[in-house]
Amino acid sequence: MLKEQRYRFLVQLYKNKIYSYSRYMLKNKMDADDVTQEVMIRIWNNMDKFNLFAAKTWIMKTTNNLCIDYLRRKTIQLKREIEIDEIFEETFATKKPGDNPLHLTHTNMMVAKVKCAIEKIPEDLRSIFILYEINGCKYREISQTLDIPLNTVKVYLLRARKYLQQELKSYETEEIV
Amino acid sequence: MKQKKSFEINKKLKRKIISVAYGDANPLDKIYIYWLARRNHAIKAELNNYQRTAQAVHSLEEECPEELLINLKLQNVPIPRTKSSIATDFISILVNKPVASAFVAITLIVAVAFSVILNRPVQKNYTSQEVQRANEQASYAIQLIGNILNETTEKLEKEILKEHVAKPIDQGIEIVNKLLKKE
Repeated sequence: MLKEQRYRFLVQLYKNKIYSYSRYMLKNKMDADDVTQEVMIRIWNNMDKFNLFAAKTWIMKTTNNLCIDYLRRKTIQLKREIEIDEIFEETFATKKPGDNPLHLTHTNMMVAKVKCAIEKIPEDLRSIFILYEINGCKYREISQTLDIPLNTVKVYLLRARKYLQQELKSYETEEIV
Repeated sequence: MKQKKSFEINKKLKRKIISVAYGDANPLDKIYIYWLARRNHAIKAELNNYQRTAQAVHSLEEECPEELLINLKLQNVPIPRTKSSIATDFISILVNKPVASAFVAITLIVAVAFSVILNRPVQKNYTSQEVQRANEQASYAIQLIGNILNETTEKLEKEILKEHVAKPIDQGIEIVNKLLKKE
């Protein structure tokens, strides 16, 4: 009973972080779904092995390890095909009445561009970028999750931010051309 | 005529611009960069670009689809509750934000301590004369009550019971006796 309650609490707290991390690392909704489910199953099976207050590192580490396994297995070509369709859906599918269409389109386009650009960041920089910027993890947590020194986290994060900006600039250049 | 100094965006300055744009710079760097941005268009443009990107990035958290959680049942794993409750939110604050929970705890302790101090009963010290006077007044009041009760008893025994209860009963019995004798 207590185990179930603890499990429910942990899943409620971390489900979006697990899914976001998987989604941006794997660039693929299906793989992200698989990884997310697998992580939740592992959390249930290992409930006795960690305490509630130190769960975040364990969960993100497990998610990262599974994502790396998936990346090694899957081919890049297949991921790219699915990626383009999903971005199209996300950019143009949602529409709320009363929204300024011009502003909405511009925002959606910007978000879609940023998502595309994030997926192009090299894997080692991308993991840190997602954990820090999207999942809101601290430097120390990222260092423990990925087993890398604290200074390396800061350096990689800076590189990822620069890389992302560079990618967005090249998008703008392509659009003009 | 004032001439605006031209600033070269070196690596160190760029690092500060990026930190400020993403919101994790220290206050001194923030002030410095914003001050520079007001004086230099190139720095302002760079800062704006990074800020736009940072804004888009920070809005990117994906929501986990509910069907994923429902499918867990097939693996004999309990289905997590999809809606958060007040209890879950409270515990998540305790776990994730110890500063917030410590602040709330300290505020509660201070509030309770203040209310105990402010509502302490005031003890008055009476003089011996006041105590004696109070005793005299109390005994006078008890005496009055005693007198009233005695008077009431006397009246009940001597007047009410005798005149209004016993006498009519006697008269009734006499009439009955007379009637019986005549027969």
